[in-house]
Amino acid sequence: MNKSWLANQYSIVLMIFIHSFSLLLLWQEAAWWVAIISIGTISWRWLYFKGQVLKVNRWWHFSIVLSCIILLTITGPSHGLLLTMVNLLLVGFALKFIELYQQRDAFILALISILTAGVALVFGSEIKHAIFNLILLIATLCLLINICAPALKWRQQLTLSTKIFSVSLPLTAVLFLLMPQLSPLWQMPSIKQATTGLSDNMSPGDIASLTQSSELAFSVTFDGERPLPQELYWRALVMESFDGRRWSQSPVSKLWQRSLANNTLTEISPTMKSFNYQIIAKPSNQQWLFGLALPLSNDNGVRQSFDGTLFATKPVVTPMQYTVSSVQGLMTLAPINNRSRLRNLALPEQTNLKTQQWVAELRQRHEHPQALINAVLAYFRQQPFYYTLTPKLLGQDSIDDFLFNTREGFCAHYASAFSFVMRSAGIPSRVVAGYQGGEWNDEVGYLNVYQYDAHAWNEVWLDGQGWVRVDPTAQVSPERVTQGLVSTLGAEQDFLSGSVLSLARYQHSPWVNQLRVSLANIEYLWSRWLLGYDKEAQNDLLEYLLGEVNATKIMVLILICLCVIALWLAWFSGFRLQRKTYQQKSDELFNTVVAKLGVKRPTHLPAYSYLQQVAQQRPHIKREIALFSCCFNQIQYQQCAEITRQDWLKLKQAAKELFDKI
Amino acid sequence: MIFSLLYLPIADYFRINWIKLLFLGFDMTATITAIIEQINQQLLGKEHQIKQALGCIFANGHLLLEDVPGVGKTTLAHALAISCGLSYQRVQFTSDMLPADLIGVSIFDTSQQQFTFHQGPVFNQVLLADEINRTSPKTQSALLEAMAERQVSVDGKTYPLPDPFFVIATQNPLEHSGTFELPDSQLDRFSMCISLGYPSVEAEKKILQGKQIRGEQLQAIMDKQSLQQFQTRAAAVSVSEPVLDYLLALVQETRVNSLYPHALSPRASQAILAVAKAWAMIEGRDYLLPEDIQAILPGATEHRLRGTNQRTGQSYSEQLLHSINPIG
Repeated sequence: MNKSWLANQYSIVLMIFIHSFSLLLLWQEAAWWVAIISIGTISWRWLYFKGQVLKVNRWWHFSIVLSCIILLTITGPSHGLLLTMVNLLLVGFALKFIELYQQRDAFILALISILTAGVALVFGSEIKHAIFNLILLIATLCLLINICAPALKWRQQLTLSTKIFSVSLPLTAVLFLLMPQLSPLWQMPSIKQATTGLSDNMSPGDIASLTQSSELAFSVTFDGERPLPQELYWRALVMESFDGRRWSQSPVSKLWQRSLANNTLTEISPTMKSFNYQIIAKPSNQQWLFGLALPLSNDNGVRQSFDGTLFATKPVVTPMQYTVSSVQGLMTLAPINNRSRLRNLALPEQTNLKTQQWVAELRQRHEHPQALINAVLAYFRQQPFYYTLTPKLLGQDSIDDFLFNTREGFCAHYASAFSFVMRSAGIPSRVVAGYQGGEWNDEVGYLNVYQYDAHAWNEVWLDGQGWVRVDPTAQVSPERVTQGLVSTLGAEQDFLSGSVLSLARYQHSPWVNQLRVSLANIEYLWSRWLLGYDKEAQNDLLEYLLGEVNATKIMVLILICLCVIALWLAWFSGFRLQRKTYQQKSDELFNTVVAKLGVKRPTHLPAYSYLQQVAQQRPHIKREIALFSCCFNQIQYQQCAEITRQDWLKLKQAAKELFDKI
Repeated sequence: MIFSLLYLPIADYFRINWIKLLFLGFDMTATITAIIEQINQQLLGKEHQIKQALGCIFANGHLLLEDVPGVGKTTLAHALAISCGLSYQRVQFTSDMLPADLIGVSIFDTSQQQFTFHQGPVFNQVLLADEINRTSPKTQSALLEAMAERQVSVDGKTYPLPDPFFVIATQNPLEHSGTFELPDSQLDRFSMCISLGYPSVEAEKKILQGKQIRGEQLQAIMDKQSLQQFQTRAAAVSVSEPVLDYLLALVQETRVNSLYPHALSPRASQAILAVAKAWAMIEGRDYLLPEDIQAILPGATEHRLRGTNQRTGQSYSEQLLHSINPIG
């Protein structure tokens, strides 16, 4: 057994690199103690390699494994099944380092690393993840090559592994494009993760500082006409319940979501103006989807709620692409019913009395609802209200405190207060959470909406007009709506102060902005064409290629592709897949014999002389050695006659006899 | 005869060469054994050197014997020439020797009114050049054309030398007084350079007891024809790729590694291969093994690489032998 890879510093470094890298890939998913165990086993392996520590004895081995099992069981329930399994994999990976003695073990290490690369894709499939995966896979290939051919220099190994990788690319492409996309046989357990950006409830009084995230929420491509910037209100969820501090989705709409019912009241007259667009939603681990009012979608897995929002049938854990057409200027198709009216007027009793009193006064002065709305908006405009992301905390009666005391806050504060005022005045009102605006990218032609574009606004029911959108934040800070958050805050407040590394923070530098836009373009194309390549896209492609799609045509196409790839591979490898010559085989056999004899061959000694020497030392196998060396010389050096299979068999037989004697 | 006819196909099937040799080349092996035996009886305990020298003759190469005086260089040269049944002439090289003394001289023949060429000692099948490095480089160089081209040119006329033609030269080590260093070009023309070394105690005892046969008792065992047969046979020994690669690796090593002050020339590699083939034939094989190259490598390269590695004390040829792996 060739174990030179174990004594090879390069292979040890490579193994350690592979492990650390996969740990970094799954950093967020790995438990802290897994990292500690990894560091421990890696350092042990390094010291063992340097000859400074002994083998781990059986009891230590056993107790380490036992404690890992215990830790996994303890942390299991809080992590959920998926994360426990990921941690199990990582622990196994780390522990493999202390039982790394045979070639087989090294192969297992490489296989675990490949599995880890696959698992890492569950948690993220953006370009950066793909690049990290690529690095990990190439390193793993290097390790495999290193085990099999330790004599190669690392540069050669790297070249070879990159070559292997590039050779496999066309096959990957064909499989990606043509392989039937079956629905998964097993479902991924849902991932417990904190979400940023949008949340399913809103309690503005409790937030002192809104942390912003420059992560992409979703991208939109419009077919045809684009809406104006001030029309870009991306509805995600409607909040109708208010308990005095917190706004949340009403139980009715939650029920509706759970039943996965579809609002079929979609009778749109063709005269109505509508926008058509595709959205690629990034994983949010939530069911809500985004759309301009009033969104309609016929895609599988997308449902329409009765309150004019879209939601997915399953939580969005991977990027999801869907097509929407929005009817402009329509909030909902159904007329408000009694129950809905009651829901949108409900207020907790005996709270915010000061506001209620103020509303009563206002109500007396302005009979008409529209006049009342204007008066409230005017109040926001005329009184010293400020838009800020770091507002003061609000007291018990949060609305009172905000309207008459602090007078500073962000969209959630204004939306919350406005809805409260409207409800107090007897006008049905609700808070809509979603995103506002986005960043146009004219080069490729799409709109990117980031988490920091999250917004909240109001809708009020006016008899005769239906639901009408009112954005009180726009009264205080009109630029927030027309130009976006970035320009609103400007230099006075530190935009994205929480994330120093975020490129969006440095938008004022032109080249950084250029870089950011290019990266966003790449990311968009990646999501659009690679991640968005689903069953339908595949069907479209096949129809484009083949006309009418049927099983025979697909089979023929796949076979043709495979043949082309096989030819290409053959050409690439220069038909090197020839069988080994008998000389090569006998060389290998000789090496085995040397290993079995256990006598080291001085490098300058030819086979025959070496065997003669050994025969002198061990007279009892003299005959077998003589026979073997005779046959070996014949195959290796005798060229007057062609070497036949018979010669080879004779050599093998001689070797076998020799082995038996040993 | 019938027995051999029956046996040959079987031997062929099993590729047992010594059996083939036994029946087809019985007289040949016997001849070789006899020659070695005869010379060995005169020059006791030097079988390996004798075989090397014989290999050199079979490879049609010139032989240089280098050692201190009195170890039997001339005896070996003599014995070789006689045993091979070749015409030979011994020339004692001295410092005042001129090229004409070796090659011959044109003398005006008064009876025929023209110059006639009187052949020198070089026109023998074997030229025994004793103490070749005692003569001046001028005379040494006179041998160059004879050794390489097997012909001599005098007064614008070219005279072919007899076939076969060998130069068997002896020389004293350079440190000895009254010696000239042989020019590189000449050294390279010797296929092998063998040093005999002192005999073992037993061998010397036998010499003192007078048990060795004397020069006049030597017999010619071969004749010109059988020598030529041996030469063609040696040239026909098959060389497989791995062995050739091994030889090339050896030669390349001397050229690439700066450790070696003198590299091996293509003529040297040709000589090594030819002598190794002859060695394989003497060993009774019709194919070359790395062992054959190793056996003759010191003899074939010592005088070309010249010297010892001061650091290890190994001679360069030995060092070369140990630096290349013949397998794989």
